[in-house]
Amino acid sequence: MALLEISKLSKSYGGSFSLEDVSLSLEGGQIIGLLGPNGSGKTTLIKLINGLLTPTAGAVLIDGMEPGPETKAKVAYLPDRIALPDYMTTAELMNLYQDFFADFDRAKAETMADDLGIDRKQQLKNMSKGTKEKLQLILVMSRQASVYLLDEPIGGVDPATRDYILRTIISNYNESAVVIISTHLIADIESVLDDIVFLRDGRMVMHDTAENIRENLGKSVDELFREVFKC
Amino acid sequence: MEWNFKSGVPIYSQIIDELTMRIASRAYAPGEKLPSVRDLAMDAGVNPNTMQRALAELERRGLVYTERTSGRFVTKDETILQGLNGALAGRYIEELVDRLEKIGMERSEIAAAIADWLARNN
Amino acid sequence: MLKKLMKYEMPAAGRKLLPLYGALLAAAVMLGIMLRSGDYLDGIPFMMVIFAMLYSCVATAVVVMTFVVIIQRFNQGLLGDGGYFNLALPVRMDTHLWNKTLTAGIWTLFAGFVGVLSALIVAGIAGGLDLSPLLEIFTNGFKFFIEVFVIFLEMLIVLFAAGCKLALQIYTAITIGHQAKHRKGLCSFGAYCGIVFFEGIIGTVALNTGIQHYFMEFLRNIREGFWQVSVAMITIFAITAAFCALYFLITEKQLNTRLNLQ
Repeated sequence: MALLEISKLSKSYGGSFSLEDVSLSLEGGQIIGLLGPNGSGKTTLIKLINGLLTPTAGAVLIDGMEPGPETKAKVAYLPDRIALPDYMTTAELMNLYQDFFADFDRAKAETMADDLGIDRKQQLKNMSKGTKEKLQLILVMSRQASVYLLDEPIGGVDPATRDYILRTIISNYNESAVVIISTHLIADIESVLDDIVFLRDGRMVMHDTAENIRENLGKSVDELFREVFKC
Repeated sequence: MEWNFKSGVPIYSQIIDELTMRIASRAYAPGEKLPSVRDLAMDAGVNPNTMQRALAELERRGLVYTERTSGRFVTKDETILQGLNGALAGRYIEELVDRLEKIGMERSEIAAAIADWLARNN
Repeated sequence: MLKKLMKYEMPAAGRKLLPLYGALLAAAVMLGIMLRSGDYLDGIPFMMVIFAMLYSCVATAVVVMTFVVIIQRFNQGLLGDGGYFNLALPVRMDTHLWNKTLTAGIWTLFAGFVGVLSALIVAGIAGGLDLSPLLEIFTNGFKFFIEVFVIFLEMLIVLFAAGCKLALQIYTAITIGHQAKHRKGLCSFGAYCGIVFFEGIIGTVALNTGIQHYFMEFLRNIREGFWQVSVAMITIFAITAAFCALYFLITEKQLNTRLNLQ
């Protein structure tokens, strides 16, 4: 039984489908890139996996269970926006995570906060955008989850932080977890990906390993993406 | 942090090349313990599965061996290590000859140019 | 899980409300002092009027802010950016709703408390801190004391239920308005008016006779009418709770099936 089983998943609003007939079967130890232009359904798929949306058709199963409180305890989600209460300090946010997520590793989070120079006593609302994003990321990566959903994790950060984030993703690697990274900054991240999934207009148009693409097509994933999604 | 990877070529084979170079140049000494897969992957900025695949191939070629409880080590076998030099030399020479032939040089000219360069750049 | 959620929800809601409660009590003290001093200037009680206005402004602000906090915390926390975090917590949807509702009920109760307290302060200070009406409760026998106390508790419980119902009406309206493609705010407001109207009709038509009867008894003689008052209170509570349950189920269903976080 795959860790993350997505079968014929569809989501529509009114008449139009934002995700149509997507199927994926993912095992632990895989890092998957969810790639596509804006509006291709990447965020919709992620929200369906973490239970923020309910499917119109098809199913999502995490460890054999439908999205609900039990799966949310095993899914670590990094949204593409700041979703934390902004009057809280770093330390208070860590308390919050610790309270609700049994798999939260406080010590690890504190180490990462120190590495990135995040002040424990500073309120979220007084931090720069980049710092807020770093904080959100380290809170998520400090969880020992079965599924990591990272929606644009390296979008708004400087190159040094980007490197740190990629190193963290690699060092967090564990054979019993699936990491799904949704991004359009492909060149920076493709060396970290096992599989890549291309989404266009809600449909999956390609699913292959990054190495196969390099070997068989003689292109980087980034180059292939530009070809496939040429404007 | 990251090693420089060319696009369009599988990363695992580029890793194999890089690690082979390091072993041949004795940057990793014979018998030395290699960093863990995870550490190598972090250093290279690649997926641990990809690093693992490269290391498995190196093991198949006899350049490294695994001791189950202690980790991965560079081979101590001098025959293999000497053979590496020959193999790597052959690879790079092939590349050089290829390029120079493309601009119209004859093989005899190439050999002469190499000897000349070596004499001048002692 | 509910306790954990409320541990964060209560202070978060209180941050905006507590300062206003403090201001209300302060305004009450000042008004009381002004009334007591009986300062007239050219026959016009300037200071009294000004401080009375100040007091009513702050009182209005308390009411408005309570509404605002209830709306904002639900809208932002479940349907807005906050939802990206809150709804990813390993918590059932109905637990989230209980969290918001109970917190709103408690803060409404507290607002009522502070309101009554402020009125007592005004009356107390203006009347020269004469506590004799209060002492009557203690000197009129144990039974009277218990009856007053029980009615007091019943009022608290009814006020709490009313606060919960207020919140749930708002939540139902918000989730209905959320379904609209455009002008969600306007639709929510319309839904809210509809809900209040709907309740008003039911209240007037179905229960008019029953409540009036008890109300008359209550007004006639508070001591003899103890049981009638209690029954009235319990009835009001039951009706409020019934409406709460209705709104709760509707809101929960909407959140579970038609959530559409943008």
